[in-house]
Amino acid sequence: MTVQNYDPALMAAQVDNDEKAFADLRQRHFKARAKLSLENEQLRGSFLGATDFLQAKRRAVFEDTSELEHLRDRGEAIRQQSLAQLPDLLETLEKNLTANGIQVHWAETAEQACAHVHSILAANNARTVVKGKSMVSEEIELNHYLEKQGIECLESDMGEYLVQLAKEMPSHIIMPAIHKTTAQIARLMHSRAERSDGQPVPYTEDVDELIGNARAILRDKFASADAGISGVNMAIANTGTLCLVENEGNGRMSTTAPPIHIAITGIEKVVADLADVPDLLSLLTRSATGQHISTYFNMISSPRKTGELDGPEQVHLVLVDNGRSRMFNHPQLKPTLQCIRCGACMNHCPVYARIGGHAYGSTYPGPIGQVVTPQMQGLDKQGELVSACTLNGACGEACPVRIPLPKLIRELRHEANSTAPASELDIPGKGSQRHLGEAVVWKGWALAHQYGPVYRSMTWALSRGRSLMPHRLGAWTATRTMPMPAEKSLHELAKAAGIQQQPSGVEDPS
Amino acid sequence: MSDARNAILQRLRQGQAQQAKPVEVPLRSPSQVSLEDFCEHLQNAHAQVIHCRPSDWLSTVVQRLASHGTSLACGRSAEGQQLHQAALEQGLNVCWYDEQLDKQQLFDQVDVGFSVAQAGLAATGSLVVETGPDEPRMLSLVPPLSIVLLRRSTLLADFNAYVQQRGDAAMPTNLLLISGPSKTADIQQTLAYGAHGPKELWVLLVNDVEEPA
Ligand code: SF4
Repeated sequence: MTVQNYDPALMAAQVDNDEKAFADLRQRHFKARAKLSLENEQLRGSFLGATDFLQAKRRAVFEDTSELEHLRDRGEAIRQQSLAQLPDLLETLEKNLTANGIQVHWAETAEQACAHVHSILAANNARTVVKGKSMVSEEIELNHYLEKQGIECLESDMGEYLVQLAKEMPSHIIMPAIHKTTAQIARLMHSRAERSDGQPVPYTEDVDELIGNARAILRDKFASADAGISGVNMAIANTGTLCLVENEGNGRMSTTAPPIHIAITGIEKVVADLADVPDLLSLLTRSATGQHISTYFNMISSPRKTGELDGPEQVHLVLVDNGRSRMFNHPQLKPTLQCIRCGACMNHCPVYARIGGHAYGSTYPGPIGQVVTPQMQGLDKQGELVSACTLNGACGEACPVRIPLPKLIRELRHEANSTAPASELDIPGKGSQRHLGEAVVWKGWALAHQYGPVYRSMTWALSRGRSLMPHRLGAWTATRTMPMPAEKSLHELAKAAGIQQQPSGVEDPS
Repeated sequence: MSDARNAILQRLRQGQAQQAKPVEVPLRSPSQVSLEDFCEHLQNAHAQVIHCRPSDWLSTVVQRLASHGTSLACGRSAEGQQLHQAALEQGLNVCWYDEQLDKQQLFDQVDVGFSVAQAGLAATGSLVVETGPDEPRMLSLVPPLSIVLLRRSTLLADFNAYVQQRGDAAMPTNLLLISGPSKTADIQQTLAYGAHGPKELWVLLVNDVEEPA
């Protein structure tokens, strides 16, 4: 848009339209969301551009593949070892954090976690909150909860800030506003951002100026906020330390400038020792954005001490379960908890690159989202997500801690179609995608492959009755033609050609 | 809510029963300490590396700041005190970061913050800053220009080497790795510096190896 046809009313209307389109998308079913996203050329351009860019950056920073593979081995081992001792590490972490003056709170559910945060804020009369990036706070829908209690919670990561301004949700776990173009952001900032003097910011499409405008607004908030909330990338049990990875400095601001700091993390983020941290950090930043290291790595071990001039007087950690201890009990799905939230799996996923983050309709999109979300919210509510996978394996090859994502997706498909849950440790909604018709077909298919005569009658019937086959078969033929059985089965052709014997070592199933 | 705590821990202990013992993978042998890598990484991250000696670092900073015409804040570290003195003598606008300086002033009025790094990490171009009474947390964060002094003799290969060197030493309130000025690529992957923190980072690399202090 050029300055000649600059029209603030039109811009505001466009921004409102984007918001309505998002709200409309949210209401729909997963398949409808995916379809709508696929039809949106601009959106597809944004995601393909971004994922290509991030893939190339990751490739460039891991030029030494033997080093990469060794690091991945180590990353996997560190995460698995941490998980193997998880309950002990959590107790050690709690003990050491408490000794350092950091207060620890445990939450089984999202609701409990929000309530903890609220009661800390309420006890200190805190009304304004600045927030650094935290996926767990998105997961528990903290902003929404606090808003209802009359507490303003301002996102301060640039991407998150823009997404909040647009009344949308992040579409990527590392780059939340990846779905928006610069022009959209320019309109958004001009129509909705408010400077501390109450004035709108001037219209600009210059990225430096856009960031400068947001910077000025947010710095005022950092200086005046009553409390700061942040996520945690790793928690070190033996030293009682909370680690944060970031580029912008908003994480440091949120955890340093306000008088209270509340950190929120999933219970799986703990490692034993400081020595576990460097390689995980290296894997995280290199896999996420192709950086050797992020601009800041911030390790917090206590509130302000006597004699110190700044830093919060109170530091709290809220440990959130929200389904994680249940995942911990599933022998095949447990590796879900190894995740360090780098986003590489979504950057390498051909489905994510095409349908985009919002189509998933969950806090965590892409392959890890497909694995985490149904386990948290139930296969009955989110079971459809696991169908959005071609099992091409790219995510598993990119994962820095070697989570076998395709295997986990297959396992979830299996869980969704198996019989109803037997214990409270089963995934909620287990068996909810099971359909009698489908189950019968598969049963028959299995039988036919077990018993020769059944198999031969099946192929005989299919080849003789081929003209009777339906031309349409539900969703399958919506985008494909119906496969046609051959006139004669392979067995019959082989027999006619005089081949009687199977090669040695292979047994006739009959 | 200790109920939540107990319930979570109990479920985790239950899940611990059926697990295999994970393998151990050793650290890779450390890389060489490379000064070139260190400088290159910092420069790629948009930081300025200023080479100086123990005998001239003060005059180097003061001269550069004089042409900037900005206000500087120092902590009470030994180097902070030296710089404060030198800046005063040059008639620069300098203040202490102490109880007198309130938060709003720091945000609105201070242009330059001075900090001292305890170590440098060559493999990533990182400065290790341990905060404490003489090394406030916000001094390397809030002012738009951050100056960090690093002694060449404290340069290490990488973060692993630093962790080994620390051993069991108690952790400071805040242990920071700083590897450039603050930045973001959240608008259509376009890089912009000065997202929330410093727009510029000057690294004063004091060569105390060839000219011991
Ligand atoms: S599953 Fe692996 S690749 Fe995906 S976000 Fe987690 S650690 Fe990164």
